[in-house]
Amino acid sequence: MVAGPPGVGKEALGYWFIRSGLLAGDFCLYVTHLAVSEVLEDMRAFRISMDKLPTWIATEGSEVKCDISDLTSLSTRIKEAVRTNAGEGKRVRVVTDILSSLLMLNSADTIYRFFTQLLAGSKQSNAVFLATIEEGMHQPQVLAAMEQLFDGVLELRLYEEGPRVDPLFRVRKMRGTVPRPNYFRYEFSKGKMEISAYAK
Amino acid sequence: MPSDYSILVFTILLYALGAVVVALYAYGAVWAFRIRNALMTPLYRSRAQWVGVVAVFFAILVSSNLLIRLTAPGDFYLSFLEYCIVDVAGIVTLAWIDTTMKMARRLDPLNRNTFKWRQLRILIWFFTFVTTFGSLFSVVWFRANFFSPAGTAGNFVSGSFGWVLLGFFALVLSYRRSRDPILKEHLKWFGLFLFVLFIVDTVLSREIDAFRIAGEVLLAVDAYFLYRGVKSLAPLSRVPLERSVEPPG
Repeated sequence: MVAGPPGVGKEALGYWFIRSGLLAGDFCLYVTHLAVSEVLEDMRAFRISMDKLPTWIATEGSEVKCDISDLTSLSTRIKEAVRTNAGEGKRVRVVTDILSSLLMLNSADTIYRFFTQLLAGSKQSNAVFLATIEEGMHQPQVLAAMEQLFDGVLELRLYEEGPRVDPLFRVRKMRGTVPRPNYFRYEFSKGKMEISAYAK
Repeated sequence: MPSDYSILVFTILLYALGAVVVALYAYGAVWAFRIRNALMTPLYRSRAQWVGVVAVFFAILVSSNLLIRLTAPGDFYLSFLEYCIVDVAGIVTLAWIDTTMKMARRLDPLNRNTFKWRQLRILIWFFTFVTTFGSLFSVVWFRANFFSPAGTAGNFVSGSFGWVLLGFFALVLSYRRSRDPILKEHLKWFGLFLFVLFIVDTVLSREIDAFRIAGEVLLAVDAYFLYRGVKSLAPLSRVPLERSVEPPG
């Protein structure tokens, strides 16, 4: 899970994850509450070139529609896409930006159950699931509950340091390892993400 | 008749207030560009940039207004320049509204096209440019003076700001619909900024000394609202000291 306030570039991490998956020959699924054209426009703005495109579940421009008000059909569609492609022996990557939208429309309990089932199904198919969530939009206890669902949590934020504003990230949780509590500076430039050590 | 002493006090007060207003707008602009540089997503960067440009233009607008009023209020070319600055300030404010509306739609889980903005924006931009050029043309045609005590004598010189009012209503509707506290906070300060601006531009626009002082005070409040709008572009945190240094290796 990638958490952070709007505008810090969470979705760009998802784009890179998809891009590297496509280059490696994995099946990549992008589930979004936006139109396909909007996501592609965003990718271009981040200078991420896609020779191949992922499979889409989007509100506009995709064969399979993303209807976030119908959780049952959404879950079925994602699971079906994952199961079919995992069955063909492909590694599967799923990226989604719908978590915050779902939490705005439904109770946290409902979404917790929805994602528990979805992630359990994905794990059975050995799929890797990357979800972005907007920090500041939800109650801290809701965020904490969502963190429990994922094996790893990355936190991206803007930090004010005197007259400077720095975009920093840290690994808040990573299953099987003790995350280092350090912050790293990051930026997306020249079509890539650059990470450097941060010193106050 | 006011004495020379009271005129002097009034002038000093007016210019001191003007300096505070310009400083506040400039401070807001600096923060807007700082945040813009730290943001990653193009749409958010674009919004921060427009907020910064708005702050810069209002700082220029207030300072040029005071300087021209002091030096050559009767000069037609300087008056025309002031009209141009006002119109550009209106256009950049509309650009800020436009990016904010785009963002509000993206952050809406149901992707609602509030106020039919996607379609309406094309018309608004078209009419903004038409009225801006029309108003500037009428300024030249009627040789209207921005600093004339008689005002514009009924000439059509409203320019781009009339369309900003329409954007204001769209923002209010977005505020009511949005469930995102970060966006709502920004919309609140942005709305207050526009509201005070309209008060200054309408109720307090008459050339009466008391109104001019009150106008400058309200502009200072307005610049503060803009600054708060800038700071609400993205939540800023502070790094805890013990976690800030990356050890070697």
